[in-house]
Amino acid sequence: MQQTAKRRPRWVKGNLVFLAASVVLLALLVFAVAGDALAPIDPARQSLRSRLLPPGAESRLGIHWLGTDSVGRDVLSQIIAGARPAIAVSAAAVALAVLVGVGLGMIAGYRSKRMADALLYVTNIQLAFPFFLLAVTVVGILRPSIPLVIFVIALGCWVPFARIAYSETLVVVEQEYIEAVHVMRGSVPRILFRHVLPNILPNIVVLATFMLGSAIVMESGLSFVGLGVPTATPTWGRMLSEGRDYMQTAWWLTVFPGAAIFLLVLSINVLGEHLRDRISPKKSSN
Amino acid sequence: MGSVLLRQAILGICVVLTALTLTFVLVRMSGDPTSIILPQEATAEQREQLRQRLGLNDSLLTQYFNYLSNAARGDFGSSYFDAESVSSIVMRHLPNTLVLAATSLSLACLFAIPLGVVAAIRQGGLIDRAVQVVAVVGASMPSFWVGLLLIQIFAVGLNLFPTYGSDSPAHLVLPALTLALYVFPGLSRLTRASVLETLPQSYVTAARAKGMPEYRVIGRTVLRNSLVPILTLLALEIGNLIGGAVLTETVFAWQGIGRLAITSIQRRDFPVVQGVVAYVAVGFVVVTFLVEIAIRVVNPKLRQK
Repeated sequence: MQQTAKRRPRWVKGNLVFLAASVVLLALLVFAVAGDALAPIDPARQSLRSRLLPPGAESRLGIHWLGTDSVGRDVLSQIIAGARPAIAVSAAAVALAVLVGVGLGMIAGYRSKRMADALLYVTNIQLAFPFFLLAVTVVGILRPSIPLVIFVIALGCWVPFARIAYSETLVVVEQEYIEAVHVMRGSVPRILFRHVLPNILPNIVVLATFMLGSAIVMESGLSFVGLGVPTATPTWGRMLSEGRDYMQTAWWLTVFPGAAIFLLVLSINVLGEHLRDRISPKKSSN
Repeated sequence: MGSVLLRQAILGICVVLTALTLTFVLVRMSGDPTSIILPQEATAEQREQLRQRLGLNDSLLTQYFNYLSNAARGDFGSSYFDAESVSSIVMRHLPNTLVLAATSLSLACLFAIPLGVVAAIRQGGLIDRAVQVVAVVGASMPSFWVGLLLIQIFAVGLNLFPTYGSDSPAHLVLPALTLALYVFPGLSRLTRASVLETLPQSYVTAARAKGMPEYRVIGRTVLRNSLVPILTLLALEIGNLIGGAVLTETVFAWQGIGRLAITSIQRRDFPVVQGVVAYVAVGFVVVTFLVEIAIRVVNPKLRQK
């Protein structure tokens, strides 16, 4: 169709946007890895004398560029410290979802009709239930822990991977060279890993990028309702829920941590759009 | 048509059963409920009495079947903390969520569908680009943060609306706007994509060749044929909406079932949690079913299949 070329939003192609997204992403990744060393002020350090200072105010600990919270902790330092749980938990969850989803999808696509039916049924049941309610129920009843939160977010992400791996494996398996490998008695795992996986990988990578964005939003949502990973310093979601009590007096407590989530997810999504343009131009709009 | 709906119905029953089973298993995994209900200094005797009363001494299988048969009759017992029955608690909160969901969904449709259509017709134009940017940017904003920002701007800053609660129509504005903004990106994007698929069809050309005025071509021929994917998305979006409602209701202290779910999870009031999950599952299944029928009403082509 002649439209496909025009369909891409032109601004996404703008390298400036892509560059900005990469810079934001890189900065937040650096925070996630080396946040302890980079935080200007100890994020856990409380100081009753410097409670609820507005952005730019100075205390004896230094300048609080983004203000302080209700117990005097530095907001900027907390945001830097919060990058690690946000990124690590979501990345682990997406990795788990890719592993399970792609694994099951490939096996279902390659092997048996029955397995495929079962997979379709399970994914249908899951999609037919509001996921976030499921997540808060599971985490809430069993009490939050890092593995449980990762597991639940992975549960929210695996279905699209299974579906895309399944449908693309179906296509790849029909190709002649796969039959040739069959004739040469290539083993099933060998066919899946050496021949099917490389073919479906690009689309999986694109999907994983977008899913990472959703996973970060899910993680912050769980944190916001008090069901996120238990950490010493607040996660971004928890900062927002604590800041909610001070909206009348301290706007910075609800604006900045949310902006951190937004910037991280936005830059991941922009990166995803860019990758999609590069890797699978056919699949663009949708 | 019948067989598709039958399959949908069976799937629906499976969804509800899975939801019931899952909450049953989770609650049993979480430990002894008597330690939640009774004060710490309760004697072993009191605990035993309560266990007897709640039927916790029966075998797991008996408990499970009792639970299922009670659930089938809409009976989820009563809250751990007060005597009110779970059904009446849920029913008290449900209307608020329905009002919120209906308002925000209509609001989203009101803007997303026309804008999506215009974006598709004037492809590459200003509105098209705006819709695309809003879609990517909007999809990156956590809904609860949007809610907090709206409070900050319109309630705290401009003092136009109340910050939280669910007592008056004015309380509805900000949460409905939050949820509508949450649904908007996906809906406008899909409308655009769907109309783009319909526009080059030969029946559209035929309608134009007949001399049909352009607004009727778009309004009747194109929009009606583009409606099926939009309706399908709306059905899925309602699940999303309920998920989003959990967070939005928490932000705005809106007394709906999403907030009820969170507060009863925090109090570890498990019968209420089970009730909420079950009612949401049933409601969602019914809505999906109705949408399946609606799709067939909108598009007669699908009826034969």
